[in-house]
Amino acid sequence: MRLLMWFAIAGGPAAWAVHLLTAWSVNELSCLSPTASGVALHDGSLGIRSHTAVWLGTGLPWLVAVAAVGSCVLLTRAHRSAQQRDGVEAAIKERTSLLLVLGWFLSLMSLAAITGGGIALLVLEPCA
Amino acid sequence: MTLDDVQPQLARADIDAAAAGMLPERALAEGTVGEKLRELWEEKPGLIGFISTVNHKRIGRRYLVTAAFFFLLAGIEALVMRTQLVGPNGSVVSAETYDRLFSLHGTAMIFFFATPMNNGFGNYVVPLMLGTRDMAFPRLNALSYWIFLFSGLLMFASLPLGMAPDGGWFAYVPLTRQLSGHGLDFYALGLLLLAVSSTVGALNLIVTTLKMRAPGMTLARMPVFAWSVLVQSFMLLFALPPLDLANAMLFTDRRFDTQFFAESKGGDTLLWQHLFWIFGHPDVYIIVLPALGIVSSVVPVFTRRPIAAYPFIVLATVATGIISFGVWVHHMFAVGISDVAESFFAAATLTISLPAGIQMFAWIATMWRGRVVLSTAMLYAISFVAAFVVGGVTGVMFAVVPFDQQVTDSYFVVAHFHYVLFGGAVLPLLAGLFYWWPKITGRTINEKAGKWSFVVVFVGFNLTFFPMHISGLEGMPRRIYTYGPDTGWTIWNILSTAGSYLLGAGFVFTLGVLVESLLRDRWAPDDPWRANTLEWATASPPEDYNFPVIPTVHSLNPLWDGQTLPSMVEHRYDDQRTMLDHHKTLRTSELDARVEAIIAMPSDTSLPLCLAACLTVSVIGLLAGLYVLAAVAFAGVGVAAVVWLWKRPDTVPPVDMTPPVGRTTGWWAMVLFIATEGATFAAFIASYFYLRFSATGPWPPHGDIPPKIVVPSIATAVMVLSCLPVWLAGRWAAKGRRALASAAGLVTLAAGVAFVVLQITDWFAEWPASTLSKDAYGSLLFGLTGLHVAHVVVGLGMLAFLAVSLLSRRAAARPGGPVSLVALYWYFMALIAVAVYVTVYLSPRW
Repeated sequence: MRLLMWFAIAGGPAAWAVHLLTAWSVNELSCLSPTASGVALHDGSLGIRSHTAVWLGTGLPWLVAVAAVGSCVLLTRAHRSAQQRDGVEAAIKERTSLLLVLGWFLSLMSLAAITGGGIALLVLEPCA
Repeated sequence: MTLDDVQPQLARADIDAAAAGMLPERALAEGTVGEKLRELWEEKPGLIGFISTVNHKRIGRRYLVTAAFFFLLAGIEALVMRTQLVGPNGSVVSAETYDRLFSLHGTAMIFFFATPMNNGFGNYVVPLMLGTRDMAFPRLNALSYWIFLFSGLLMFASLPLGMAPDGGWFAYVPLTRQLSGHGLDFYALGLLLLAVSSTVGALNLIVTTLKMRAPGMTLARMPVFAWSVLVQSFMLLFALPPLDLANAMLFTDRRFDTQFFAESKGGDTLLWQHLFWIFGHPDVYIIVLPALGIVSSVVPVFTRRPIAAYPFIVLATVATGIISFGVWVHHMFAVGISDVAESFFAAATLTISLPAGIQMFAWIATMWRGRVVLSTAMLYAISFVAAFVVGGVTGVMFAVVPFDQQVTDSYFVVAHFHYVLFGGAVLPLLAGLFYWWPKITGRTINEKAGKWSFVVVFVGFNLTFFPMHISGLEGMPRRIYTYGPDTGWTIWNILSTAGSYLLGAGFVFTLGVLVESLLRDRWAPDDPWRANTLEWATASPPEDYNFPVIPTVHSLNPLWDGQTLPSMVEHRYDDQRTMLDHHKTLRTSELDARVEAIIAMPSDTSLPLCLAACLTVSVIGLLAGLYVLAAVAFAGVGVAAVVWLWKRPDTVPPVDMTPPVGRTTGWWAMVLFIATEGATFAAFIASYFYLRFSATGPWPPHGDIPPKIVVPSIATAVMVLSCLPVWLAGRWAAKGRRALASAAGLVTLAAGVAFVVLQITDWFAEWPASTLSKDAYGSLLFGLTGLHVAHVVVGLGMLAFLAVSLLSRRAAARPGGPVSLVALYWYFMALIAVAVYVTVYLSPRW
């Protein structure tokens, strides 16, 4: 449960950070720089083409962010049932509520940011 | 003693205390233990006391006064610039002087006013708000202040010396790499020196917030201001390393001919922009977040109700801190990045407006449902809401790439960031000043005069900066020292200049209000505002020990819950809460603030001043090219550090309250230090790959061959294997076996020395083929490995010191003691050795 809570809070922002860094760096590397590595990535001679890499760098983190939102759903249900039970300290209930709100917000916001990046990919060529 | 027993005593104390302006609960607690605590915590008088104090309140006050002084200087620079721009073809100052004025104005306002002013409030208020007797590391706190003072003086001294920075506050290369004179050296080294202060200060505030809260103050009961300082401090730890690295690279490029930013030698000018803005954008929130925390402190008090949507404000604060690290490229929309990459960062930039919006609605809801009292502090808080909305809206406009590209580097940008930074930080800081003034000085202000000073400041602020939106949209570029009469910008500049003089008059008026308060005997009671947080449960101004009895916190609004204050009376005979035998305070758990231990705190010492002075002399030596002086002064830093550690207050084992003991403050400090150093190495390694993948030819470039691999492989293996003896040292120390632990530490030391020798051998092997100044590859190779070796040498110093202090019984041999902390650092060094090995020695072969 504790691990799931960590994932609910940090999973979304981590996914967004991965998206931003991988998609941006692959894009910048292969689209702008006339370098050996950039060209190799662009024409696929590295085994993967740049637009596939950019899509992967957006799609996979998007799925992780969705999973983080899913874990918030599970944890919220568990927290509600725990609140109805006696014997759980009020301070711990308070803290769990606070962390859950944090998890919900961070996951949803990360999901929104990655979705925004995905929309850009839908309307623009990866090397536009 | 229970709460029921306490009530009759409180009723009796109530009448006398009210007459003296004291809270009855504090009056009873002071009557029981105050005298003894006063003797114990009293500081030395006179000059000795001035230079040796480690009291967070005195240091906080100094931060506030020093930052205000730098604000005054930077403000005068702004007035000179506005005078120059009042009409076309102005000739008040030359173009060169104007360059220096705007560069120093921006640098000073961002680095030497806004952040340190927040630090001042953080230092003064946070320990009081948390219900503790001082910061987690009082000596580090003093060090942080002295370094800040010296770096600020150094930076401002550059102006009369004719050596002020003249490349703008963000010092873009290639211009700044090529500018002659010492201006950019002052910039780079001054900011590096300041970064030491900021890092140490941030680390201290984090540990204080996590480990020093009064019992019962769970994270969910921590005041919003403490949350905002906590998030801001974490941001500083991770945002400063890229800036430090960039400044170090700039200085070595200028002074030692390294090639990090030289396009013709494989360097990249965009690398500077990335490193700078990875710091620069979070820095906006580093400045603004504590200011938002101040507003969250002021609004509930002057609306007479708890703050609305507390969890949402907390999450907005945390979310802002996280997201701010992912939007830096929006400062670079005009440099030619692809549309898709710009879209990724535009999406992130649009997202960051959400948490700010949440806070806005929370404050408005609090005011809506409360009974607003229009005090001076509240007027500033409300005016902030209006100003920050304007700055926020124009900020969202910058997320729209085509708009950004139209107005970039125009006065529209100047207007935007002044609404964000003046409206978003200076107005709340003034709110905080008027709000906490009675607590800090023990005196109340003339509210009527305060309100009039607010009116002048607010009108002056808007008159100065609003017209800049229009002149910017009409095409006036920022940083120009004059303009022609036919541009159509004159009227807007006249208005701005008039506004700036009005604003200046407003600040003089404000200063007059504060000085008048100091000269009059309008003494403030403990809680003049009937506020909700713990700092108002202390005397005005607080005693040196803050709280006679550490209370038990029962809610988010401890002064309104009717239980927290009586707990001071309840516990006044409890040794654990009064701690009458030494400078001591409570250490509590991170999440739920359960009591873990009573820890000893250091007394007054002038060591922080000595260390800061040595460090400053070392920087001056570097600036002047007197490298022997720099080395000798740096050795002085080492000596001061050894004396510092030798006189540790915690050689007395802490009194554990409940098993397990929990994480110590030292453990947290080491982990945070490792985190920030890790960020430095991460930034350097990222720079390596950035330059590698930007290179137009093969890597290594210019016919260099990949570095030889045998010696570095052995060195890295030695470093990794040396983790075993240091791990054993930790185990043995935990069991109290000092001799064995010391011996294992010495084995680690020997391995570390072997690593350094092998690395230096490798440098000699590489040198003929690749040098620091041949190309960017050489600069990266020697820079990265050199930085690591420097860190290992520090680790060797720690190991040697540890071995000696273990044998001489100066260091405690217990679980979680200093051995385990040095071990942590050493594991980190081994990890970095592997990362550097993969980056520098293996990756060129891919």
